[in-house]
Amino acid sequence: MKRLNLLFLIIIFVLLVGCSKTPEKLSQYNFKQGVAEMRIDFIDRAPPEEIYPNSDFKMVVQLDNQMGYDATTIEVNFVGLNRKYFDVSPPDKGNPQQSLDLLKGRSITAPDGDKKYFDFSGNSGDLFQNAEEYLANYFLTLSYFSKIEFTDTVCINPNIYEIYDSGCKFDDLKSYSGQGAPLAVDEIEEIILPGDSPEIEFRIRLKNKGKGKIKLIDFDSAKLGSESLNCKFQNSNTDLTIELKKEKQEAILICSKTLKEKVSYTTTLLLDFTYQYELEKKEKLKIIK
Amino acid sequence: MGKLSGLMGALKGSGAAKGIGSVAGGALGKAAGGVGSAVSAGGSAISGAGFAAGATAIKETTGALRTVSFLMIILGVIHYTLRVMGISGVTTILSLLLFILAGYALSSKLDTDRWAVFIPMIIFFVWWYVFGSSGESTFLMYYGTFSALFYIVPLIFTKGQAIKPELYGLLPVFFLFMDVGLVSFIAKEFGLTSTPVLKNLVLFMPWWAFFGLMTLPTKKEGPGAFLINTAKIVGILYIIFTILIPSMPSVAYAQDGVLPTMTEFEKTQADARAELGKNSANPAVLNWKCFIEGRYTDLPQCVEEKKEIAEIEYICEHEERYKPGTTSYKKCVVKQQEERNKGITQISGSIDPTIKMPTTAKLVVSDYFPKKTFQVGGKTTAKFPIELEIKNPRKQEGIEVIITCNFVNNRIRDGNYLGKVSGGNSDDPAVLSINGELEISRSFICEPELPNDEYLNGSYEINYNATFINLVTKSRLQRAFIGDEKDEVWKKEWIPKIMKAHFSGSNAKSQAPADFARMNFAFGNPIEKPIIEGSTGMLLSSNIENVGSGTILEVSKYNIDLSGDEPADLLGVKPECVGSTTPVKGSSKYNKIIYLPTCVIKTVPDNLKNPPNYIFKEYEAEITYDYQINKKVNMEIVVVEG
Repeated sequence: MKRLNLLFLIIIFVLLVGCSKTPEKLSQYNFKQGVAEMRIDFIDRAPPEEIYPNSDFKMVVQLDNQMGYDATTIEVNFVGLNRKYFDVSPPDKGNPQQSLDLLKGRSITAPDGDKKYFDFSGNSGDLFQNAEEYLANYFLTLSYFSKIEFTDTVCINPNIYEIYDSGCKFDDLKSYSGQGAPLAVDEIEEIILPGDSPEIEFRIRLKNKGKGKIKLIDFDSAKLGSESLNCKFQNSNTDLTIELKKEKQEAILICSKTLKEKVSYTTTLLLDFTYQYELEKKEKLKIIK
Repeated sequence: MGKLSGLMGALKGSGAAKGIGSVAGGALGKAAGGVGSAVSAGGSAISGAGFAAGATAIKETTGALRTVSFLMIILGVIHYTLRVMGISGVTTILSLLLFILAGYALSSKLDTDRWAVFIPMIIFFVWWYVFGSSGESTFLMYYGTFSALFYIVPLIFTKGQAIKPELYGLLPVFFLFMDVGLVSFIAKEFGLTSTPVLKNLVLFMPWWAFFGLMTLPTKKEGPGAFLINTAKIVGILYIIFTILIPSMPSVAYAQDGVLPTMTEFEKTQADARAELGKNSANPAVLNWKCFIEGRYTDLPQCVEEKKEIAEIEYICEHEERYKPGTTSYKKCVVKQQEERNKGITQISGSIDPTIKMPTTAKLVVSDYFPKKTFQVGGKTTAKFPIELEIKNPRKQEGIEVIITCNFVNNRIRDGNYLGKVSGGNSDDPAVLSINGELEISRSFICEPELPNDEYLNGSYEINYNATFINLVTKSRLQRAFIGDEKDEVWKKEWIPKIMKAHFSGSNAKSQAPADFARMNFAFGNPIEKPIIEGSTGMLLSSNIENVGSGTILEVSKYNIDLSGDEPADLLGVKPECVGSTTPVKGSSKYNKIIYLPTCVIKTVPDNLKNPPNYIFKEYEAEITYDYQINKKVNMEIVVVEG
């Protein structure tokens, strides 16, 4: 019995050890896989945990692009800070803000992704009367545009009733883990409409797998091999753009094409999207006596 | 003693009477004897009146043993009524009697050994009443050891079974404290603001009656079950409406002696009753009235409306002294309503939790105060000191405190004499100037100013008054501006976030230190909503609230600063809405709020009209006012012929 227990433990150990990642050559590493997003954080002690009245302080925001894509039109805002207690600059229309045009994503030349630091200068005000402290809740918000590229090999079988067709194996539903961004092509359903002029339809489910919120998705292009697909978003007023609600961070794009071939074959499916992403973090600043 | 035994015998037979008789002791037994006869009489009345059916039903179902709970309810109500009427001597004796009955009722309810319940009661009672709640360590060591034996021995003999009744025995102790005025005492000692729950606990809780209700026997069926269960439900509803609906204040307590005496407790309770105002309507009654009227959906509003009507009626009847039903009385009611309607929305404020040290002051009677003075001859030479303790944590300057006193003997015609005060400034001994000192503790002497041929003889009440001139208290209010172009999606996402981040708890209300008075103010549309949507049509409402135990004599000026930290003012507000340098009449003892006009804010500064996300701002208001606190002290002068 004891030997059996020991064996069981060894099996668990082996299984756990087996989970470790085998080193992969950088040149072969695909940065456009899994779920990744832009990280935003304050650097240590900027701002300090507690601030004295009428003193200067720094708030340094670090942006770290962990996505496999570049981010553009980046904006960082402090929202909800009471200027009477925390006068933070540079201000923009009432709230402190800084922006950046481009922050490169992870690639062979920059495997860790690009980083950028935003410096904000602050000055604390007086406490109200003889208050012991003032605790301010506020939001650190980040907004940017980025894109995703999706590529996969698919089997096209225009004649699904042809049992003697010894071509590729048709897969009607495929799932994906991500493409190196918060927005991901999560699932593709492939439907063949057979007949004299057979058609193929791809139902592509896009999903936000990040911590933030996708505000809108623009469809850029879809190609099957070298030929373009006709696509439109389901439940969208404009076919090529969709605005996502906070409570439903997913969309379905339907792409179709009339097939010329009569036999099964494999080809690549290429999809490109641009999206606007927003992330906010609740932060605190405290003035003490 | 015999009468008490008789009462107990009627309750549970002679055995019970012996048990209680031995606890009560001689003096107490005598005192309780008188009450016993009253109770017997009351009992007879009950059996002959409307309660007869109920009492008989209980008798049928629960037996004579358990009717002690029912008796407690009746006695508790009588006791409560006497307390409300301000009769103190009998209530003290009734308290003690009910304390003993409580032990008896509890043991019957628990169906356990009576002695185990009585052990902690006796230990506590002896310590508190007999030894004056001595905190002296040697005594406590002896007393504690001795008491522990009482606790432990039953545990040994019952193999631990006695622990439950022994612990339950602490319940009557708690109720005794609550009944004699623990809440009022704590509130007074710590200067707690009279919150609704505090007010209700002091004014509307017949503690012993509730104890009786709690210990009523459980009966699921039978003729008495309906009566018992109805009584219980009514009791629970009463507690819910009186205590649970208002929020609880946090209290803490520490003092030199371990516990105050019963007299001290009862004195503070009597003072608190007088101070909280007889105009307060019973919340349970109001809630029921609203229920009956079918106002289930706006119950809190209905209660508030009825409370306001009750307050107005009280002011017109008791303060303005108009006879109800007369034209003058009706005019007074209309005038009061108009006064209050100046503020369409009756806004409220709260204590700023970040300000731990408010400006406070109290008149303290020293241990050396001559409560009884023997005077030889016909000239009063006695002097009566009072200590004024002021905490001025914000180092306010230019405050003057005027001390006055007078001697009152209500039994003598024209028995009211002014007093002469000394101990203040060198140029005016009745005045104390405060110029930024953090803490001041100063003794003042009061001596009667009598015509040459008169002197004090007998019992008098000295009224000390301290009037503070030029006190300043600031309030602040926070608001978030989202502008008028945000779509529903944005609002649905961000409004809950803003509320959670900035307006949790009482942060949506204006906040001020727990000084004597404060300005409550709010604006928005609706006023109480802290998130300002759009840029027009907001209402601004304000009032000045007396949150201390004294009286606002006058508000010399007030100001609401709507500019915040921005250069542009919120526009289109009438000047009288945001400030006045014309003195405003103070609050009365019964009417704690001075209503100020409600106005429209026509627009907001440009930068707040459509911010990219939202802008969070804070506004301040300030009042300068005169405030009076007072203290009444009883003393006696015995004139001895020389």
